[in-house]
Amino acid sequence: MKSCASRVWFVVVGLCLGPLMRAAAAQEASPIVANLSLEELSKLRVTIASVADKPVREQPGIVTVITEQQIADSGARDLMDILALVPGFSFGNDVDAVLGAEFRGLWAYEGKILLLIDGIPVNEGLYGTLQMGRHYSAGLIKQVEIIRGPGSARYGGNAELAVLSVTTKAADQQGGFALVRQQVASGRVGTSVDAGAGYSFVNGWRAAFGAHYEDYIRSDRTYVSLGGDVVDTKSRSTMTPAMITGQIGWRDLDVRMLYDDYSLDNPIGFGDPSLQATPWSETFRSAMGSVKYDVKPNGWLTISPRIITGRQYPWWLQTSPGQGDFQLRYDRQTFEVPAAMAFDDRNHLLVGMALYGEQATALQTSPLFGQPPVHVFFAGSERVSYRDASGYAQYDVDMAWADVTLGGRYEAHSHAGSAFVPRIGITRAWERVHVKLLFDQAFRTPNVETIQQRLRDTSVTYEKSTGSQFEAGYRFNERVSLVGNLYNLRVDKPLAFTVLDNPTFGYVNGSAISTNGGEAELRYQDNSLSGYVGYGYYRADDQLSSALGLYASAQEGQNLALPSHKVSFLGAYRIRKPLTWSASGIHSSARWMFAYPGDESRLSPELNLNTLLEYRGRAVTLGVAVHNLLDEMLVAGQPYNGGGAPLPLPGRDVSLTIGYKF
Amino acid sequence: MIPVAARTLPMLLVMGLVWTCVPASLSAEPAPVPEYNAKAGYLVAFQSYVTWPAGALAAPTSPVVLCVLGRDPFGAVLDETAAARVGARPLQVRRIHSPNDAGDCQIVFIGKAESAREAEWLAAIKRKPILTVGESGKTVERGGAVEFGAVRDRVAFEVSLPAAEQAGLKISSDMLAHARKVYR
Repeated sequence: MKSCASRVWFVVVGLCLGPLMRAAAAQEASPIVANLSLEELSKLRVTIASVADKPVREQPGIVTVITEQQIADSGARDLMDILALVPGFSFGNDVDAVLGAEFRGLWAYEGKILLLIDGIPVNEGLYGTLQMGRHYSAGLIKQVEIIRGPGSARYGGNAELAVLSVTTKAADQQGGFALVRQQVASGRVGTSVDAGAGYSFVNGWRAAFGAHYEDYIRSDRTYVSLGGDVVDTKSRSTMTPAMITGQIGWRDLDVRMLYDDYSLDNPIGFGDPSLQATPWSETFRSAMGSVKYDVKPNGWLTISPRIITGRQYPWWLQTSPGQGDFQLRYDRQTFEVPAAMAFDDRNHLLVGMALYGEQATALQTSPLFGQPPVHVFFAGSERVSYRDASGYAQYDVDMAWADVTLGGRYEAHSHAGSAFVPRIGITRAWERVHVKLLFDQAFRTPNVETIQQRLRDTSVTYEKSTGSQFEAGYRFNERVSLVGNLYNLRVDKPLAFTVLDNPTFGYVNGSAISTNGGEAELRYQDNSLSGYVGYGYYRADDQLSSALGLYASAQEGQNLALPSHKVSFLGAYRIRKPLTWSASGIHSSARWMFAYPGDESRLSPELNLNTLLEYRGRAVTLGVAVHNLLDEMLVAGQPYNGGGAPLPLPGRDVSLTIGYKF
Repeated sequence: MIPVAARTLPMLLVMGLVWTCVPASLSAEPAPVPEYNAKAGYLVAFQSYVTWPAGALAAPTSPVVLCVLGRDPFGAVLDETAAARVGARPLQVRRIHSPNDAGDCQIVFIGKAESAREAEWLAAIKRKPILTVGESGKTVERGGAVEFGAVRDRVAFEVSLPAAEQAGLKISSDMLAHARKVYR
């Protein structure tokens, strides 16, 4: 069977390469560009020899870059809105009414995606999760770079299935901005404020800050638990996320700070709202900072020692009176030393090491939920700590026939032991055509609670993913481009919380889960019109995805709550110079939800349409947007058999935005 | 249970066939230009966005002199680009080898091959009405007014307002709006 699959890949690769090679053979003389405006020059594609700053199509990874312009056109309010348009991503609900990302047919929310904000890793450290929905405001974001796969040998820990690298507007040091959005859904009015400024000074100093605050609701719809309990979330799902970013730099010294307070009312408890008289308060709070200094002893070597430190209070639960609160503190200190060597324009080597220590401390526990008291919470202690050391190397070389990347990462963890993952990439780009063939492995290091809540009398170790990806892209002309990829993804020993029987439950390394599929993106851009269509498809390997009985749907090829097909689009039309109209939409195919053991319910296909009319002056921006234009019943299903009913997302939502930049 | 490969085959074949059907004849895109063709384009365009102090140019129709100081990465491209430029003022390209020869230049470009001497050269001409342009990665820090960089497969530039002011130059807001970064 394996050889048959290999033959299929070979056929497809051959089919693709034929026309691409023919097209690539067509060479044109490079023109003299004498009478172009600065705007035209800024859009001119150039051939840059150095592998250090390659364009996306030549990078050894499957990369999507979402620009500030695309974010503005989409009317996105947060990172979840941005990712929703990207093939491969959809969203599900976890416990405590929080949302997370699914990626390529796998529930990636817990420890499988690394999020970097201005270079600082921000996943919460107890489980490695990332909370989505009114989190990471789009008003602060300048650019999102999405790397499918581990991205680089440099990233470890949670960089397993994808790396999301966010650059904030302030960190780009291009001046200041303020943005206020009033929004209303079903009569509930919410407010969102973003502001920031960043400047570089000729004496080598630079400084930037950004801030966001929002007061709104998760949803204005009704939640119905699997037991039939009904909750009107409109008055019980208030969210008040806040974030502050800061940066100070002088020449090669760079200091960054990030404060993130993601607070929400949880109207449904662990999925059964009958447990609570009033909404529980859930908070994810982080304060993080990094100090980096670039040492450049000569023209070809840059050593960038960096210290990252952070304190978090993730999953801080304050329940209804009498039910007890829950609060753990998580601290982490990282020291890393990457060294980048540019031997010449075609040979680059990255080597480095990283050390981190992490500690978790129990501050409050909930006896009502059967948790042990604080002083014995972590297997007889109030505090637990782990250490980790890693080393990595990645060599990029531009050869006559292709650009080749070879890399590997070794990691040793004080509980999980050691692991090594290799990485191989071959990239070839012609004038209009590019192809990439990537094979990489990555691992997820077990997080503190993954280890502490392991199934009794067991140990947990790294889960390891293996990805094979093929991408081909074609530029029809300066305006139109098409890129597509095929992938096969397998996660061995996935770390999963499983309930064997009460009270036998906890994290274990399960048997493998696997998906395969493809993604495609078609883009159009001219002076007055821009358009984007994305498509993503996955198929779960039934034999593997039934691991632990957690994720697999009874429907062939599907995992629970994850749509097999997703089509997204974004179109923007510059009506007149300052006036833009745009529309975006996401269509997800039907999903299947766990209802009761042996029973699944079907979630209908969804169409989420959004539109935006915006005046974009030199300094002032005024916009009117409607999200979920059709007032569809959009829901986030639970991608495992946890007993949670679909969490309703907002209905039709109208917003007015006023922005000012200076 | 249908084998994985059999299930995957139709999808892969469809995607492959769609790809095969992409006609090469649809390609009407101009080829990407070499990096220094684009930089030459910028250099000759800058003159339209910069105002030199009175006296820096003898007459409204006097040519703007664009000088390459030190090793020249352009070759004939810069001359051809300047010759093809249609503008209010003619452009004249010169190669010079010392900052002492920059007295008649309105724009001076220093290539990255001269990075070791860039600081010294920029210091020598910093108070003259000259738009200094570099690409060393440290040009602005060393007192240059404009620095070329790359943003993936595009050439971008940064502007130092203090350096421009020191040289008595006025940079138009349009040029600042297209700069990747403006230093204050």
